Amino acid sequence: MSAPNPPSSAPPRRRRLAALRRFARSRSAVVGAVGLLLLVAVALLAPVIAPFDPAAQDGEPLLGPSGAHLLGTDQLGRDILSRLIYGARASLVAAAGAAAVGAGIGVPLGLLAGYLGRWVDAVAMRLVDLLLAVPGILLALVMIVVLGPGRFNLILAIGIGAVPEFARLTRVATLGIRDRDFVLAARGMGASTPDTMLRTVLPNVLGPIVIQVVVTASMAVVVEAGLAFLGLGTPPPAPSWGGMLQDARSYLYQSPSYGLFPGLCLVLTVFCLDRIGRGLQLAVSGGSPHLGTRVTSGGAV
Amino acid sequence: MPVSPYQSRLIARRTLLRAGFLAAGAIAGAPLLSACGSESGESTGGDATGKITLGTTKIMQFDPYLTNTDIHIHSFYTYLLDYPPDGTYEPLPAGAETWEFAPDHTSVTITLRAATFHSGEPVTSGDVVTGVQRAQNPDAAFTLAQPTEFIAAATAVDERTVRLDFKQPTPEALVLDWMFAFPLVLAASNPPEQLEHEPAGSGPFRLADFRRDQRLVLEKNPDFWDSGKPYLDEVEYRFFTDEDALIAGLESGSVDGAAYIGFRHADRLRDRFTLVEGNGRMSLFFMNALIPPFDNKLLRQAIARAIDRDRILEQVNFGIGDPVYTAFMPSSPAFDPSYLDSGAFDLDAAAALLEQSGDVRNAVAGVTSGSPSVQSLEIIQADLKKIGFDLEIAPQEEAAYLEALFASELQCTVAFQPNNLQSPSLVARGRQMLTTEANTTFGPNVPPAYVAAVAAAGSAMTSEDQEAAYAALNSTLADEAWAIGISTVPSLFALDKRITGLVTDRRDFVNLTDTKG
Repeated sequence: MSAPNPPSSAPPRRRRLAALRRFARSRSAVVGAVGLLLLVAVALLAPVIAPFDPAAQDGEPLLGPSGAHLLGTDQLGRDILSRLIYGARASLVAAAGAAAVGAGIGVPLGLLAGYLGRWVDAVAMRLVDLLLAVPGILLALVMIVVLGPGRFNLILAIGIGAVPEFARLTRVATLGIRDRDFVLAARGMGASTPDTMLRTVLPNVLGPIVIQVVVTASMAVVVEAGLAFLGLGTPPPAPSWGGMLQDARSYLYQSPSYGLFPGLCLVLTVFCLDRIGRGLQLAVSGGSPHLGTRVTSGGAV
Repeated sequence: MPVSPYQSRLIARRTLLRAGFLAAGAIAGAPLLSACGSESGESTGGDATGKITLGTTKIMQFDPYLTNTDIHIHSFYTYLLDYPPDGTYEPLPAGAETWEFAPDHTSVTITLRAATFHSGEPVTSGDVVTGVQRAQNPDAAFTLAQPTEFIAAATAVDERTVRLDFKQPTPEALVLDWMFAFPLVLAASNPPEQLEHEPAGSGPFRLADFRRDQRLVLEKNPDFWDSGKPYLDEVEYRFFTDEDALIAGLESGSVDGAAYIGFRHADRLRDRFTLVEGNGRMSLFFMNALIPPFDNKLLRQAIARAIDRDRILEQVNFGIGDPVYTAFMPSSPAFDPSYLDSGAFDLDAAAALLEQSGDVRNAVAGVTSGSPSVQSLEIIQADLKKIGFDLEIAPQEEAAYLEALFASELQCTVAFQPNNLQSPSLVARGRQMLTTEANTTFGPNVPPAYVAAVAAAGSAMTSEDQEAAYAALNSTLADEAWAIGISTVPSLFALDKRITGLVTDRRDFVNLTDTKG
């Protein structure tokens, strides 16, 4: 059976619109959302809008910005703009993938722990403690070294590091509503335990989880860039902003502008995601910046 | 006197302005002051003694039989002879005062110079005998085992005379190369477990202090055989975790020189520091014949034609170095430039060979992440893609890469090979891809033609025989095509302009004997 989302008596549609209005009230959140939409569009349309094949080594190396190559070329004569455009794909795929892996494992774990309690809670939380004991970036590094480089392994490495935050957040939120009337009512009307968890509890704890998804995605962009910077990201010649920064470091003297563009892209993407997270926090908390659910970017990434 | 709020604001503004002027003055004056300081530093540095501090990212150990660490080992040990730093192979007496070959070239009698080890004990023929015995054990001396193979026995004739008997008539050049690479080590301290932690040589510098991953301090050996040398009283090596931190340390003045740095820093440092190019090594493209797809010789030959040396030299080496085809540097008597023409970069030829080689069109190259080899591989990858071959690059963390390399798990890679001095047969020394026994590329099935060519190069006595042997060696290396030369990779040092006389020997080991600072 479906839960009536009891914390508010307003119809869901009106409540959703109210949340959207609260989100839209934050100008920076709107800017972030527009920026992210643009970025997604650029990533999706990369084959259409990129002026060159990102792997083609056709130009002169280390050219500065010019009419032929708007942002110049890298050390192997590849067009920097095309590589930035395709690099957006790598960053966004890593962001979305890591958030999906983190939420896909962490949310069910937290839901089970919070709702069932007792030994399930103890086992799940010890697992989470185990993951938290290892610094996130170190965990990702070890996983990449063991599994080998590659896009999927990169997503897995970052995503697993994000599991503890999702699990703990979901558990706390579940504990908060587990014994509320509407949940007891659902149980009293004969709903099974899985049904209650999925259709009554989960929809009511989604708010903070959505914010955590955005926070995890923004941190995943940074971690992906960090791992690529260390040479453990997507293997060459696939472009990635972190990998471009790493390459550019070697040519700062010969081509100072080379490192500027991937760095700017990273900053802007993380800014957009951060602002969206903030806007969502306001939307979920009813407009008060102090009532927002605490989300965290620590530990995992 | 009471101060009104208005006056207070004025005073505050005045104070702020005054502070601003002072700060600006300090900023403007700092370079002048530091310039004065550096000037005085230069004047004191001109007295050719004192202390220098060199930064390095290399890991160190002290056993010359088990290390390729090139930055400090020459400071601790005296070798039997030296080669001049001008690139020629004219032997100069060092630990050995004289040497005399038997007319039939089956032995050499070496007279040692009267010298003492750092511990104060005299250098004796017994130390050489013990050293030769250890060098003959591949497990205890991987860097010296293959070059020592020609020696049948070492005998102490008297306190300072030792005779080496050879297994067969041996070319002088090979013996001289061996003497150049053979360190004098105190016999009592020669066991690996002891030598690993404490050097026991008679070289120009003694160990003063060593803190792993932090610093190594060498002090002048006052009893060094070459009286008056070394010029420096003390040399300190400081360890840096990465090259960029090392360069930052050099630019900030916390070290006087940076050793073995990447070419990418050359342009940036050229105007402010003295750049010294060492003899360096070679970079080669290795293909593993033990596992598919490179167990196919035709495929290896096809890939060999798709290596654009000029572009790699220009874009990865910043124009520093020379192209090579087989594993011999231009200074080697076996260097044959005609291979650079006959095996030159030619994608059409590569495509034709690829067609003949069968259906395999992909391979994976292992490489240490972040190394310049990644870019060399990217250039090769792009060219291979043009002829329909997909080379995937798999960067790995260095330890994982080395483990996979030694376990023969990599399909192909770009790796380095040291200089083979004036004896081409030394191409087979070491423990990796080019040895004649159970190497990582062929396992126990090393091509017999290569084994025979190495043996012939190591035993050819006349110039005609040597020419033929070297030609056979080049031919088999080119035909089997598992180790395709890309370029020489000179070592690079950036030094404070007051430092002079830092050179590397033919092995690319740093020699500080004539260094002044």
